[in-house]
Amino acid sequence: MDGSVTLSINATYEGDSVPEWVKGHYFWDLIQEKTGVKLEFVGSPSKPQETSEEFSLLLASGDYPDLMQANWITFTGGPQAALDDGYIIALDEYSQYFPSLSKILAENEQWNKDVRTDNGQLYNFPLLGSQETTAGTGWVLRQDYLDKVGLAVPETIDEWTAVLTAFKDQLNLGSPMTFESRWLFLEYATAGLSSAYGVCYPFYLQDGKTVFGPQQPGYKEWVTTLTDWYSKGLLDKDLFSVDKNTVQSKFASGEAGAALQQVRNVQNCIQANADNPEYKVVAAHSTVAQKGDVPQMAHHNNSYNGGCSVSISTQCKNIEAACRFLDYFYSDEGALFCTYGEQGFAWDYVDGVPTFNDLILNNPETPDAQGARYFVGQFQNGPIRVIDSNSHYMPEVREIQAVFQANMKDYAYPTVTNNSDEIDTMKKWADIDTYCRETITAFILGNKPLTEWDSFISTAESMGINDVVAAKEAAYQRYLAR
Amino acid sequence: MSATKSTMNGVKKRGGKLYDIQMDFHKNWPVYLMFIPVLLFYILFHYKPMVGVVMAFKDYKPAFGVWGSPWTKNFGFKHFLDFFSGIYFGRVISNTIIISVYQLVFGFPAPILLALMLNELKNQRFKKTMQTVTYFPHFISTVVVCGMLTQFCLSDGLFNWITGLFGAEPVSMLQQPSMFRSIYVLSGIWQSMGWDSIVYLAAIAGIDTQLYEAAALDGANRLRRIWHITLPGIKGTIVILLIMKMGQVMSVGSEKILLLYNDATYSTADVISTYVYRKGLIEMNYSFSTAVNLFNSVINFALVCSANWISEKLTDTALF
Repeated sequence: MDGSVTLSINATYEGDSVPEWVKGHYFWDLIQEKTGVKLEFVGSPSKPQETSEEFSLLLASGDYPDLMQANWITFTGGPQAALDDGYIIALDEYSQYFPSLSKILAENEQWNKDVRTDNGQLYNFPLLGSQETTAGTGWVLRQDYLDKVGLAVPETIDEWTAVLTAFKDQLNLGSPMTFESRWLFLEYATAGLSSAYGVCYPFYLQDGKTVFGPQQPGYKEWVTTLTDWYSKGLLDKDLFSVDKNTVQSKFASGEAGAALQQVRNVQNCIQANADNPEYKVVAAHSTVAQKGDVPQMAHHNNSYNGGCSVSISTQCKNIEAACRFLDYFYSDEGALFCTYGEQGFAWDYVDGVPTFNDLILNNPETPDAQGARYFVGQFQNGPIRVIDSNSHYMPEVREIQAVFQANMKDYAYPTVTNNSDEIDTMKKWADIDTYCRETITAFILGNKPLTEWDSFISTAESMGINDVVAAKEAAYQRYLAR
Repeated sequence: MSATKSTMNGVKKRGGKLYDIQMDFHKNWPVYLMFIPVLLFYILFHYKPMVGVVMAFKDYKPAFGVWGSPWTKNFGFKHFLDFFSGIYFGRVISNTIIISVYQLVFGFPAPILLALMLNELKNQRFKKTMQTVTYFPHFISTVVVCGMLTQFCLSDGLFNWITGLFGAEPVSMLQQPSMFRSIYVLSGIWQSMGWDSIVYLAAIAGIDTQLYEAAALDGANRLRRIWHITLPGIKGTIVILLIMKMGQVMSVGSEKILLLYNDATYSTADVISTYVYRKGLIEMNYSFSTAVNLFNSVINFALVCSANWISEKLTDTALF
């Protein structure tokens, strides 16, 4: 386009504060040059606009940017309500303006089903994540600690107990295992450990039916184990007040021997110990009930989950330009640029494979390689098809990420859309979620005896958890019928 | 002032109220001119937004606007009934009241005591230094204060090191539902005590020093002088500030609690404002949280009025 088009977008522009080496190569500057579209950034630069708080304020303002970064899946009433209430437009009739995305969707049945409403309408330019590598978080241990206590990487819960006990008794670790407590209640985040009991939080599919984790018999055993571990000092004493940075620093400093970590933070921990030859990290496969079983559950991101996707608002004047601009992200040239940044600056072909140079991989002026990639591209946080989300990791970290994967696609609840009849039912879920979180927390801390488990479940049922599960199941059936 | 009043009375007999205002405007027009920005400020930022309370009786959707959104069931009171019948109703109300009462009982007298003590210091340099030292926490941002508290409360943090000196077992303090309110209220006192004492110090400075001299001659010791001169001298200030505090009983601020609470302490820490924040901004139930806040404001208003009425009966001091 000729540069006369201006589109507004609720994205984070940091072009004025990027490090010196990025100047002139910052993603949001270059994308304007390459597409000839001038972008106007609205919203606060310090926060991702998609956080519910920021987004909720944007909606309440009544003044919408042309391009809206939004996750309509989590919106009350789902994408259908967003279309019906008049926030965004349906895109199908403009498909001639986005040939690249249309081609991708035509070639992949799964995506084509996931990104539409139950009525089959297309409502955004989606972030299409990997369909194979779906786990980004998993359990890691210190290999050198395991060697010191003479134990192998644990596979069952009993082996985990033995390892953590040895860490505590023989190595005198203050917190043998640490993780952020909120991950216990974040979708599937701790599933790698609860896998042995065949449960996870909150909703998943069991024999093709939607179930709620804590209502399953295995969940009580899982909480019993955590309670036991906490009382014996095998878990971090400050489990419920530590944040992500503390978890990372405890695992990096050696205060903790096992942790739940995102891949990015595993790499950070290893790099922080570059001059410590002993420091060695190993990943644990998801736990199994009997030694030799195949690991089943793991952390899981649906390939499409509604996040980081961009819709066109009803206030957009130039729909054709908006479509053509967003379609650039999916074109061959655009995908390469978004994923790797500018050729010759951040990467080049080595044996026909795009390979990053030291500006990305070993740059002392950025927090880490992933942070550097975010300056030059939008490889997994924009409206693109993810083609490479991990080539900036060290080979050993990529191996660790491979171990995180299990058979979760059989259990993961897909990205469905709720309809407006279900709004009142789904609103109950927020209160039930709060109730479950604080009650399970009280069990683990020993503030509430486990004998009260049944009354906990019946309270959750009186609050309407069964209605929520039924609504989830109905949405799942509609999804299957798409 | 009295002269103006008598003229006004004279005018009143000749014309109506409107004529009064016209005359007054003619005389005092610069004052009215200066009043316009203030009036506009109140209309634009305090009264116009009040129209938004209509949201509490509607199912507000931003796309339809306040007026276009549909009215709720039960004659518009659906959200109120939902709140009263919700399982967190009792808990957020009682948590809010308990924390407020703690703040009143322990937090309100603290700056008065500090002001009395500072007033007794005779070395001016030491007094000034002490004042500066006690103001200082007021200028630290809440986020920073909470970050420090989180660190200090860890099982290997500063507070546990101190209790450890007396032989106590380390506990992760922010995970103990029983300790949350104490941490919240005590740190609040630490933050605001010095700053809040300024107004009392100013009131004390206004007391006639002859009274002290006379009392000293009569043989009153320090405590007697505080009790019979200083405290009665600042009684009016104390009562006014107490009435104003009463108006905030139902509104414990959300920022500090949001930064300090976690799943383990919801049972004692979740208050109306944090509940409204979660419902309104996180879950986007704008109407529901407006309804809760409206209910909140009505109670606060009633509390101020009754505190004012009681104070008027007992001490003749009233805010309005």
